[in-house]
Amino acid sequence: MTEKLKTLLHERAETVNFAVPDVDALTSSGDRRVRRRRGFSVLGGVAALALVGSLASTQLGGSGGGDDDLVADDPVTARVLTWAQGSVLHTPTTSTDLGHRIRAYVSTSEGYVFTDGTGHVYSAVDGEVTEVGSITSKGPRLVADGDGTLAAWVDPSGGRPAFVVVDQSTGETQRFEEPGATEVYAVDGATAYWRDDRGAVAVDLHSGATRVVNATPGTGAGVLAAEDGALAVERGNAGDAANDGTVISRPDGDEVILSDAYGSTAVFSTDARWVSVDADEPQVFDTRSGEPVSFDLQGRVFATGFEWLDATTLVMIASKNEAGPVELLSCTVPAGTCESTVSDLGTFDDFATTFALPVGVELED
Amino acid sequence: MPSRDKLEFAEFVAARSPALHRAAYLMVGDVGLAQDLVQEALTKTYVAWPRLRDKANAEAYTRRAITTTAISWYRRKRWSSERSTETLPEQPSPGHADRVTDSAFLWECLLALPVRQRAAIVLRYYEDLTEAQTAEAMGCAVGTVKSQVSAGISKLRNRLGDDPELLPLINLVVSR
Repeated sequence: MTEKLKTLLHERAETVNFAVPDVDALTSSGDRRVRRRRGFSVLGGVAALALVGSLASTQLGGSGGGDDDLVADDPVTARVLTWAQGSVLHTPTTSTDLGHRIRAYVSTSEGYVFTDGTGHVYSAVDGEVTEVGSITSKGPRLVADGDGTLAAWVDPSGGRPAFVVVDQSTGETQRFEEPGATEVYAVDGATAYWRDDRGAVAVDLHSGATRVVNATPGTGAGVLAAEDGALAVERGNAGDAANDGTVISRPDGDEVILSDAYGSTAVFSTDARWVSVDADEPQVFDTRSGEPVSFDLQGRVFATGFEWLDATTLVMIASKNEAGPVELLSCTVPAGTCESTVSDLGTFDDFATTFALPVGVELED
Repeated sequence: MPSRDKLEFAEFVAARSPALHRAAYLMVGDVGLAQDLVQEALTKTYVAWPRLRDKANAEAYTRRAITTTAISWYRRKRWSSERSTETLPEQPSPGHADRVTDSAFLWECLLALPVRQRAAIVLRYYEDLTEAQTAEAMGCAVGTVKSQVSAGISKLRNRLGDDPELLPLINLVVSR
């Protein structure tokens, strides 16, 4: 009964010829997209070396840090703009050698947790760097609450993968061997968000109480960010090319659907009033209304936010053009104004293996 | 991060892009748009390549990307001339009864359907997917597939008449 309809469709389809797509163009475009999605290709190159060379490089716990030595007597209690190259953690005014290569890192109110790219996880607090666990060397992912003391990751060693949480205020680690432990999404206060056999779950790390956030098995919708009880969750499944945007839920309000926010990562401002979703251009939304924030990028072709320093200051990685130079911007929300905090850090194509930003993942593919 | 095997991806593109292009063309009715759509879907597939545990499923992934991207593009009215309309082309005059079977007219009516209805029909009757597979490709529920196909066929039938050889009867749109 459907033969004519089927025949029409097949006849029509056969009337046209298509050239085989240019695979090099596809892979180049895909590689660029991956770099951007990961946040944030990088910095590198001679210009960055020159910048580093101009800064005082101090050994952790050494005596040369002066007033602005980053990881010395004064634990990091306020969020500061950071980036890393090799084993050196930089702020706009300091450089501190952590003694191990920094391939991916996150910050807490106490210090930093990082991996060296060979499966080791280190905690850096008050002048001490301590190995605190194991992580995969292929695509490691660390998460932390920048306002809290906890950081987490998946430990693949042992009989089966397990979630590990370190409290940088005490140095203690906890291990959670949940069946199907695959991915850790976020830490918000004493609550961790991860994926196991139950789907995406929220776990109270003190009581052990668990709440299923999304019961979809496998690579179902994930938690993009969590802050003060607010959640950003994929709507649909980006892994299956069916991402329908992002859902924001707040403890004190209705859900807000950001139907045009397709990012694979997101970050909340420290009060969860604003959320930045990664994309090729700034995508920052009011979490109460869903209204987007406009930014004056002064002609830059690429910019995306990756860390909030406070309730209204968002750090972006940006570039004036495809060839760079890469900059770090400090942008004010909701005013939408930006100023270049770190400029001329090399080109995106310089990318690489030596730089890291506090997003918990490696910057290269 | 697992690596992206460019050779393996290139082999996939060479083997499957003709079929993917044809399906995309049926969904959008324009060669240039179909090429853009497939290029975008293949780029997404390349990005996702390390996550595709079973490379045999890459085509299903790309098909899904084509479908959801087409729907998304239409939804955003990214394309300057959106064809979909609630008003289908004028029915042929009685003197042109034979046109009911004229594939050009059926094609015109098909292109006038909303994109989701058109995509559902293409996936069901060209790709010969089951309702479950169509739902997977469209990123929606099976019930949505049923309603989209039913609505699309009803609209076509209103214009083309009840030729059971031309179109499936609505109540016989079987579920698989």
